[in-house]
Order: sequence, then structure tokens, then C-alpha cells
Amino acid sequence: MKRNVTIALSGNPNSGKTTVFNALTGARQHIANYPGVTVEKKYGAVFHKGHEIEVVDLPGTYSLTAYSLEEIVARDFLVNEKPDLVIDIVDASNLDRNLYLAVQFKELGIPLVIALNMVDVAESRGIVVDHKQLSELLEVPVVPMVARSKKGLQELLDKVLEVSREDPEWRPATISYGRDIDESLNQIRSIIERSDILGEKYPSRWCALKFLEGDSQIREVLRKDASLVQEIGIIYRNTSKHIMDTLEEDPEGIISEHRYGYITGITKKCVKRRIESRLNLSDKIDKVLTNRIIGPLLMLVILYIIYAFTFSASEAPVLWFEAFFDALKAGIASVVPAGNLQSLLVSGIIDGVGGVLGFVPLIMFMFFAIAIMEDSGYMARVAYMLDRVLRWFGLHGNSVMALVVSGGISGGCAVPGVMAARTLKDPRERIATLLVVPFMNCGAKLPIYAVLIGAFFSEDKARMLFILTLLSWAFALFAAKIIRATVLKGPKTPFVMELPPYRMPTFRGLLIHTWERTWQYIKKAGTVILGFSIILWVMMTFPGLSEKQAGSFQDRRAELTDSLLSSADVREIITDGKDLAELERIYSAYAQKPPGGDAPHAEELEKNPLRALALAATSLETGSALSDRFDTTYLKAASQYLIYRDKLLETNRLEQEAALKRTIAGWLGRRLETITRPLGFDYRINIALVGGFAAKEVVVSTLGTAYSLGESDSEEASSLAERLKQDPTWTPLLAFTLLIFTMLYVPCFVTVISIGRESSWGWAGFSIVFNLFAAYLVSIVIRQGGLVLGIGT
Amino acid sequence: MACHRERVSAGVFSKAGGSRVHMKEVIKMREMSNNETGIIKKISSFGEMGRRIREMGLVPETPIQIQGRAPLKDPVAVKIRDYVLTLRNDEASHIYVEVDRTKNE
Repeated sequence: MKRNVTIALSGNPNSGKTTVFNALTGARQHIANYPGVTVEKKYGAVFHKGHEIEVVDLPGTYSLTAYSLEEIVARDFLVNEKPDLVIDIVDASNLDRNLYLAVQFKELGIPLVIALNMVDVAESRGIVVDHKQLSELLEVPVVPMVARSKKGLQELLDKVLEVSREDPEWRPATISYGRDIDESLNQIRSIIERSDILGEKYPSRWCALKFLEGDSQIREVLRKDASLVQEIGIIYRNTSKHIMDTLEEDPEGIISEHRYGYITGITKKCVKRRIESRLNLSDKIDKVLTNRIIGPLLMLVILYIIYAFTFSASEAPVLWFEAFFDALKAGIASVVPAGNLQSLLVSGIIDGVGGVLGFVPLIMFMFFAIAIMEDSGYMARVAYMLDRVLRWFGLHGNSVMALVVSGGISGGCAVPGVMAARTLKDPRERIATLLVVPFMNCGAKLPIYAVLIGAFFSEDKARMLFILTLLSWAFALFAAKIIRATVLKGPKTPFVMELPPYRMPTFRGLLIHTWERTWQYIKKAGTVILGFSIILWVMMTFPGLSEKQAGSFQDRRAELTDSLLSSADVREIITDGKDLAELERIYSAYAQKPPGGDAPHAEELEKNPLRALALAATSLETGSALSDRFDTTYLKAASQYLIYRDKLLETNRLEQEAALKRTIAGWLGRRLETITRPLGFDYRINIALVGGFAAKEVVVSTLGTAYSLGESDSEEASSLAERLKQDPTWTPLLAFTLLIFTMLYVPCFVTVISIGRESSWGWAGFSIVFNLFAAYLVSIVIRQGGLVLGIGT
Repeated sequence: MACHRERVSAGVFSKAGGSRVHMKEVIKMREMSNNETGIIKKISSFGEMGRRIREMGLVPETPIQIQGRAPLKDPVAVKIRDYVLTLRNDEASHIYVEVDRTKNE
């Protein structure tokens, strides 16, 4: 009977384990050179000679103790699920350290097959492993292979089937750890065997060994039997004391030393070295890339290239996405009648979800760039070079990537920045990084900076932007320092990191890598973000104008139309509302694309008076020379029409302002005035800031609406700047306070959701509160300090 | 024979006929200079840090070579057992290495 086989794939980080997993199952899986990226357990299946082999990808680990989460995950799976066998992927070019894990599998007793990977790399470095002898000495089947080119894969599967047909009984190997330890092991073992507390799960000698190694998980299990653990405890303390007195070591140290001794004994016999300790290619590259002077410079260049690549390569696709969503909005607007439903679909859902999906190309290119850094091995070098600086702030060398992408160079985006923090392994360092990346100057903050700097600091725009960039770094790093000293306080995690050899990334690996991460981001847009978009839309829309208010604006518009149509100059050309609508259509077409030199002649225009009028209005508005082609009737009518149009737009803007004031956001803005008064923010700024939670760009457009300027495009942003400049309450001090507040206050909701997904909703909530608090505190110091010192008032 | 490390004062210019003094010293890994080789003799760190150091292969009698240091002189990169490991100076202070300080005197 053909039975199904379950195997676990294990191995050190950078041993090519993920490559083997992908080659076996074809599954989409993360591959990285940076130690320990795979934290989740992944499944896949492979069919070989009529058997279905289920493959479970365990996290990459160096050892099998219960210190790190990865090791616990791996060990629990083996002990609880009892797979038929373990394949341990062993890097042939780095045999000693890789066998450290293999020896622990042997001690656990689980059926084991060693896949001796990267034999080609080893040979290129002059290291030749006699795999037959290795197999004999270890008493474990060894299959040499090159996973990158799928060499040895079939042999490996043959061996898997062969071993799985054998007796499935676990046979723990016994390795000697010296007389003292061996003696204690036997004593503890016999005590454990008297009790049935462990049942069938763990081999007794292995448990005794783990107890001596200080394994917290095994100690926890044994603690259930108080007398048992007391008895073992006495043996442990005696052994510890004896070893400390005689060897100045602890049992754990002695055990790992003996384990390496056992390994060295084996590898000395089966490894032949053609050339002794010569600098290999990877070492030579490191002489340049991590050089004291050239290293950091090159790193800056590389980080800048990644940044430039991400934003320039994604520029066109981002525009395509925008164009697509604009077309979709126009399509819906033409099908669904104007009103709340249309507004919900267009301004709520499509603007919200579309705004988020619009980031997809950006994120994809960023992930691609990061994948190259990781798979090539450069990321570990960045961490190595920057560790000393970032450690002082409680961060990790790899935090720099997240900070740069988020806007370390003005114009990034915190969403990919949050994603980039995934490369951080220590949870405290990762969360601290997540919490401070929103302080960086992302691209969405730039329009606000442009308006405020343009209005109040126009003499020195570049310097002001540079100051803001420096400030954002300073705030982010010091905030990290504060966070790590308070809420995320904890013992310093040791920095013992492998610098994996440089490897040329495979294109397939990069694509799998990039797509997997991008897809996770897209999935979010469909769920949480949709809900949030609707909530924000409701806040910015309801309850809206009362019927009476809406009616009065309607009346005003009707009044304007009537007075235009009854004017003597116009009556001749525009006879009714239908003509007016047609004129508006032609005029806006001309306004978008002014007719150039090939404009029709006056005679032709006679036949189409509305077109002539629209053209006359356009030339009046733009002051072009065309105006002398028209007789005075047309010019008079055109100027009347332009005045009418301005008044109509003014009415619409007033309506928008009034409507915004009567929304939940508007109400909130007014209520917030009590808190924001010390900052000098009135309800209009507050509404804009509330809107900015949706996306920071919204601050400018909402401010425009609040100041009755209509929807602020880049073109009209200059008019917002003019408007603010003339307002007596707006001083350079207020502008600067608002600049800093915008830099620091709540991350936009896409970022908050990303933070929630990457850590927990608790931390996402904390991020909102913490950032608001930081923004408020810093802004109040600036505002009040400025007032006292009389700066910028 | 291991002896304690002593810094030779800068004012010594004696050239005693080129006689070589073979001197094996045990020093902390953080005191080793770049490219210097040595053999680990003792690790005085226990608990998690001690475990991390040992499981990566830094155990007594293992030969090592300092590969280089990060631009701010910390962490340090060590070549050990055919691969490169980086650790902070804090960790490197707990690792004692026997080095050959043969000098021409």
C-alpha cells in the first residue's frame, strides 16, 4: 500500500532551505539571505513515485533550544506532530556550524536525512566533503545536492521514501559530554524515567540534557511534579558548582563545547581542504563594501539608488492606476445620479480604496529592491555598519531601511516603510521602528509643506525643507530612544549575526519574494481599508447642510442664472438654460485645452454663436490676441458670462465650506478648538487635520475647502498660500507650528492599519495616541516658546 | 606560555640584533587588531548571550581571524569555521583568545 509521508524541512538560516522548499513544492515562499526571515511554518506537497509527500517548512534555526520563538516553533512541531522524518539542509561550505543543528536532531532521535547543499560553492572555495564518510560517521543518510540548479533533488526524494519505509521508532543518539555531565545526565534520566510526566513525547536523556542546558520549556513541563524537579534541581546545582569550580564554565557551555568537539572530530576526517584560509570572493567584496570610509559612502549611494529607483520606476504605473481610478469614477458618476450614493461610491470607496491600491506599484518596487538587498546578502552588511549608531537609539542596523523608505529623504511613504521593518527580528526593535517611521517626511506631507513654506518662508524654501528633513530624523530617533526606555524597555538583545556570503539573487526568487509581500498588502485594501474609507467619508459628509441652507444656495444660483439670462448683452446669444449648459460644456473644454493658432475664423463662428462666445470668453480670460476677432456684442456677453461664472463658483465654495462645517468632522474640529487653542489652531485647521487622517494630502484640500477656495489642486494651492498670507491670524509662527504638527501627528490610516497588521491593534492604537501626544507636546513648546520670545509673530 | 599583555612604550628604539621572542598572549577578542589570528581559549559569558556565542561555533580551541570592523569600530566581524560572524564589542569582551605576539627585538 502506498502511504503518504510527512517530512519537515529544517536547517540554518542561509543554508538554502527556502530554495529547496520552492524547488520541491513550487510553492510561493519567502527566500532571504538575512538570517531568520521565515517565522511562519509553511506547507507544500510533492508527488514522487506515486507517493504524496507533505513538506513542512520549519523556521531556519541555528540550534534547537527554547530560547527563540523560531526554535520553539520548530521543536514543538517535531515533538507534537511527529513527522515521518526531518530533512536537515546543511550548507557544505559551512559544515561545522550547520552540523550543530543536525547533531541535536540525532539526539532527539527523529529519523533524519541530511541534504548536503551547495556542494558547488564549497568546492569553489576548495572545500571537498566526502559525503559517504560523513554519512558513516554520523550514521545518517547524506544526499549531496545543489538546490539552486535542482541537482540531487530526485535522489533526495528517493532517500526520503527509503527512510520513511523503515522502522519509524525514534532512536536518540548518545553523545558524550565528559564525565561530569554524563554522570549527571544518567542520574537525571533515571529520575525522569521513574515518573511518567513526560509520557511518550520526549526522549528521557534528551530531556535531561535540555534541563542541564537551562531549557525553559522542558523545565516548565517538569515543574508540574514538584518533588521530581526538586530532586533534579539538586543534581543540576551540584554539577553546576563542580564545573564552575574546576573549569570556570556552566553546564550549558560545556555541552555546546563538547558538541562542537564531536563535530570537529567528524569534519576533520571527511572534509578535504585544497587551499587553507584564503580570502574568498565574498571576503574580497566585503573589503570594499564594509570599508571604513568607502563602505558608508557606498551605502548612502545604494540607499539613495533604491529610493530613487522605487519612486521613479513606480511613477508611470502609479499614474496608470490613478488614470484607471479616475476613469472608473467618471464611469460611475455618469451612471449613478448625483447624490449621496454617487458621493459614497466616488469620494468614499473609490477614492479610499483606490488611493490605497494606488500605492501598489510603489510598494512592489520597494519590495523588489529590498528583496535584492536581502537575497544578495547586502542587508546584513547594512545592519552591521549602522548597528553602532542605531543601537544608541534602541533600534537595529536594519531599521535604517524602514526610516529611509518612509521619507528619510523627503518624499517617501510610511506604508512601504512599515513593511520594510519586517526584516527586523527582535520584536521590541521592530515595534519601536514601526512607531517612529510615521515621523518621517512622506510624500503626502509635501503639499502641506509646499503651501506653508511658499506662503511664509518663501525666501529660503530649500533650507526650510532641509531643516524639516533633519527635524524628522531627530524626532524619529529620539522618540525611539524614549520608547525603548519606557514602554518597550527590555534587556539588550545580543547582536550575534552572520554575514552570509554574497550571492547573486535568482530572478525567480526575487519575484516570489516581491509578489508574496505585495499580495499581502493588496488583500488589506479589500477589507479593513474599505471599511475605514466609508467611515471617513461619512465623517466628512454628514449630516451636511440643512434643507433650508441648501435651498438658499440653490436660490442664489437660480438668481445668478436669471440675472445673466435677462441681461441685454447676453439675451441675444444665450436664450435658455439649455444653451447655458452647452456653453459651459464648450467653455470648460476650451479651458482645459485652449484653441491655438488654428482657431476657427469669425465667419465660421457666426454659424455657431455659443462656440464663438466660449472662444471669446477664453480669450478674455487668457488675454490672448484672439479677442480682436470678435465684435463688441460677443466681448460684452463673454465678460458677463465670466462674471456670472465666478459668482457661481464662489457660491459653490461657500456651500462647500458651510457643508463641511456641518459634518461630524466639522463638529469635531470645533470641539477640538478648546484643546488646540494653545497651538493657535482654529476649527478650520482642525477639520483639515481630521481629514488628514485619511491621507495627508487631504490636509491641503480640506484647508482649501475650509477657507472657501474650493478643491485645491496644485495650481490653486498657490491661491491658498495667498489667502493664508493675507489672513491676520496666520503668522510664520503658526505656520511653523502647523508644519511640525503635521510632521508628527497621527499616521494616515493606511499606515495605522499596516502597523496593526505588522504588530497588533494595540500597538496601532498606541501609535495614534503616542504620535498625537508627541505632536501636541512639541507644537505647544514651539508655539508658546515663539510667543514668549516673540519669534515669527 | 601565555603571558599578560603589556603595551610597549612608544619610546623604545632598541634593535637587539633581530632576536625573535615568541610570545603567546591571551587577550580579549575586542583587543585584537584587524586580520589578526588566534585561538579561542575561554568564554566568560553565560546565559542567553553565552549560548548565542557558543552555538554559533565560538568555543574554546577554535581558530579565528578578525575580518574587520564596522565603520564606527563596533561591531567586529570574525572569520570562524568557514563563515563570517559579527558581534558587538560588548560580546567580544567576553571571549579570550590566544594570539601570537612574536616580536623582533
